[in-house]
Amino acid sequence: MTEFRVAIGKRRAFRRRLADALAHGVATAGGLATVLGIGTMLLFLTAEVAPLWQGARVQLEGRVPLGEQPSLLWVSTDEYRELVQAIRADGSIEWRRVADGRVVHNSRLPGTEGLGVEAVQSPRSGQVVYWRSDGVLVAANVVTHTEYTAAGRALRPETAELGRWNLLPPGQTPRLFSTGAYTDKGISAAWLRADGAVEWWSVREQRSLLGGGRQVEMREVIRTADGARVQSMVLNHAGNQLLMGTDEGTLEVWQRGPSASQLIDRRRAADRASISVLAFLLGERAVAVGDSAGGVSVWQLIRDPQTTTGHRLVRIHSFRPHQAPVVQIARSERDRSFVSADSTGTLLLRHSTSEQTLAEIPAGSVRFLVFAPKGDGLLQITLGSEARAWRLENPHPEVTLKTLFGKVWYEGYDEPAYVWQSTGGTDDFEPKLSLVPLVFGTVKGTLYALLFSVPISLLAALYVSQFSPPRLRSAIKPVVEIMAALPSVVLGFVAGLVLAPAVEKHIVGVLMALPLAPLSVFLAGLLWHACPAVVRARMPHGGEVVVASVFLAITGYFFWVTSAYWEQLLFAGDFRHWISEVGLGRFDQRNCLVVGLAMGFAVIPIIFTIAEDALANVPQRLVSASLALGATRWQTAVRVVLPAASPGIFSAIMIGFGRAVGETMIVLMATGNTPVLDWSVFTGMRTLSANVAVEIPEAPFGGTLYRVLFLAALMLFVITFIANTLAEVVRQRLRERYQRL
Amino acid sequence: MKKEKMVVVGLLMQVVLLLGKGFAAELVQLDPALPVYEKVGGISGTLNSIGSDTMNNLMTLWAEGFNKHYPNVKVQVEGKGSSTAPAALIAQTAQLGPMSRPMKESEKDQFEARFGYKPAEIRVAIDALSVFVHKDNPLSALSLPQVDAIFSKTRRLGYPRDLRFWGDLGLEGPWVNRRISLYGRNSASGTYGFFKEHVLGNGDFKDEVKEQPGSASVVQGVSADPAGIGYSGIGYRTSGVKALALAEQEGGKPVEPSPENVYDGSYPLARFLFVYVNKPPTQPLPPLVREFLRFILSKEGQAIVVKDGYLPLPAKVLLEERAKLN
Repeated sequence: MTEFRVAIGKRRAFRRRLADALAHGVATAGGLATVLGIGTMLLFLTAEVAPLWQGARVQLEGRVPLGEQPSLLWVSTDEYRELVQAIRADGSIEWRRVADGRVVHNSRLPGTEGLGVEAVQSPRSGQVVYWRSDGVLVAANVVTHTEYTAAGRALRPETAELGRWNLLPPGQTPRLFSTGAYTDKGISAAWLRADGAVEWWSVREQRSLLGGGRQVEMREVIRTADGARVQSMVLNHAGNQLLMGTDEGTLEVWQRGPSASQLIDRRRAADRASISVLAFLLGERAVAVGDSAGGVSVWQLIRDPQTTTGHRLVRIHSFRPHQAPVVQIARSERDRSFVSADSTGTLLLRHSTSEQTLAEIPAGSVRFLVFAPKGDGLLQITLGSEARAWRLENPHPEVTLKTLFGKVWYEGYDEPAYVWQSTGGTDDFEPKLSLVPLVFGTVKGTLYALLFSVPISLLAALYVSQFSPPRLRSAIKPVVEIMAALPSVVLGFVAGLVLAPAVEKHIVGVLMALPLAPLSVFLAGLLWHACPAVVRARMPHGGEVVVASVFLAITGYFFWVTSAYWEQLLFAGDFRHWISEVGLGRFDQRNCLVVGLAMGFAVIPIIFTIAEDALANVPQRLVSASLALGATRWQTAVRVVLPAASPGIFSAIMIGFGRAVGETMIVLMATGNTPVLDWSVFTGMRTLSANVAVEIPEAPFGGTLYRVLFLAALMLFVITFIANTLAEVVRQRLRERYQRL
Repeated sequence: MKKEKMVVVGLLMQVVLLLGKGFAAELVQLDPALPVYEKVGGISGTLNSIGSDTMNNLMTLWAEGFNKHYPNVKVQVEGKGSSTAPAALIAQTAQLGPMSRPMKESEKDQFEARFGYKPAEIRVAIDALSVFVHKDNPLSALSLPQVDAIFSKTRRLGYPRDLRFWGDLGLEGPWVNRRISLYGRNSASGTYGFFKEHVLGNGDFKDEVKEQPGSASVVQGVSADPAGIGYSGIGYRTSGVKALALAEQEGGKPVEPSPENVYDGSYPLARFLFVYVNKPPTQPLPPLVREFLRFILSKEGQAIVVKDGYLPLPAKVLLEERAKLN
């Protein structure tokens, strides 16, 4: 028998050890898996973000000798960078394959039979405008169509004349000229005359309301204000704005009105140098300026009521200078990238918004320089008429630490600013990717949520753990915890669609109730003291909650109902107007007040339940000792229990903070998601997390926006990680301090 | 999940239908030359559509109409904004990409980088993007430069000053000091992009524009906010809001967003609505996609366009688009 028992004991002991080992193993594995999971997540996020800083790569893909004669006037490449298209002085056009240098197609510019061509420009892709040697200006389409056959992709060139205008006597075609694009509304051109003046011509189709149109021609001679010689000029697409650079380094901008042109502004854009090159950037809101000393900068026109014309030219970006005079600038048709070339043949790839110089290409010499249509290549023609095709990998030029976190002077803005506007409906939109408004929005939302939830949840925890009867406690705690189970999308929905309009309607009442309703509870306390002891003794333990709640509800309801009256009394009936009058900004229906309330609802249960546990777990002997020494219950709670539980309370707040920072659905639905930078409680905000949720469906995989959104996610991760680590460290320290008790 | 979403979308749509429509259906005549849809055999499977929110109701209505012919076909419609269409077509999570603006070149580049050819663009309906104010607002017309000055901080159309109060527009009485409250769409929206291009001259929106996730919430916001102004496709017009007549230039003649004005091109914010599909240039479309598009481009499909408050295609355009399907 004894042996048997021993055997059972041994078996039990064995089982126990086995269970122990198993539990230990499972716990360790779980812990390791968590660490591994977090590590992998961090790694994944970093891997998605890292390519943002990879920079640009340039690679020579092919070289094709084009032949010197007849001389080249203009070159371009197709969107697949397969062909080089060259226009020569005899009006011929040839398409050569980059791969083997073979001529695959020949054509000529319309209307050039027997006549030479003097100068060619391409105001838009697929369109050329050229001077014939007899002084006639011609606009034509020279398009390369893409066709798909069973054999694969084939390119079919096509030319068609759009219009011609007899403008100059034969033999006087200009050395320097610029044209706007030909559209059904007309065309415009400007050229430098031999006497140094600039002639600006345009023809406009004017339509009357009754249909039918007539052509209005306008021709005007303009001179620089100080008689300086024009070295470079550029006309915009629409043909109503002309920029000129002079040998004295001044930049002039002229605007064409219905009857005459006007000098809008002139500024010195280069010191002790002449402006050698002007080129509009994509969107034509800003112009790249290159000078004979090698300087490169970007300028734009901003509003300035101080000047007579209401506008002023300003330099918005400066770049690393060249060592030699700038001779060419070519812009990308996909983003704000451009390439500047100097007389020694060095090419520098730049990006306007981020002010970066992304690559330096020693290219020998430059006669022509163009960007490939998709912005993924460059075509350079050397002085020896050799075409060189460069492949360009420049996936994320717009992102630098400065564009993400610094003030950037964007096109069309009167001053540098922090802006988040990531997408536009067109290609020439300048993405604005400042994370500052989003970080600000996250901090703002979190702050208002904690402002609302921390006092409520901590006081509730203190009451429930120290003062309430046990029966009440066992009812309140689960109920509050159930609150935590409410999906945040429901909270957000209710906040956005029910709470926001209701709060807006009763805004004054809500604002008054927020401080006054809690005060009414104090009032209740005073009344309670005034009551005779007989009445007080009759009150069951815990009844004070009921009384306080009733007071709270009555005052809350009172202010809610009388809101309109107070608004009339205090704010002349229109609180929203009053706010903007006194300079407190504006009032949004979906504002931080609503978000604070809704998010507070999500955070309160978390803070409450952790803080309550911490308070309830303070050793009973401390409480008993304090009471035995004659302290009141309130003194005991505040001076003994609260400090002893402070580690737990601190971590409760920090975990609440983490929840508020990462909360997505509530802010998404209860705010207008406007990325503003002001602390006002009456405006909304856009948080990092809501921003990711809003924009990820529209971010193409691997694009800049996609990666910046991952960066936002990484930042959220890091913020919560730091908050939690900090919470843990502080908690440990506090615990050590109070362990001795 | 998706099915539930469909149900929700369906319910929302019913609500919208009950509230009233853009162009009054009885005023719009269908071109008698539109071809009638002919049912073919052997069509089944699932169609996914991801893209424009403006076209969300339209796609759902088309899906329902299509289902009447082919009960075995399941069509799922998701509309978070036009910018989600290219991303979905590239990831092949959808066969149909409805968009309320033309695809950007950079989006086509990304598509082409993945498939080696450009997506096929089908015009499916005509919309008049409208500027709405609250029904009690006495204003009836604005010029585009004024709308620009109301919505934009860059004012590229050249209005001389910022417009912040209704009083700035000449309204009187209680309107003088009422601050203009702006409602707009989120950046994924094609309507947002179109408005930005044509009204803001590609400038930037003011920060205080309340970005709504859908056209319906823009209109709902304006109808609940007497000081509100917002924009969306005309198909979302309700009785709580008023669509303003617009003049292209300051001092020009304001034009109502009526069918005649849209067709003759005098309304400045008329636009095509598109559906993009992945069609290899040398191969035919999958039969299911082809039949759905043929249904859209038929008399029946265009009648649904009218029912949803948009304008049908003229027969000439419609036949051009049908030719692209083969």
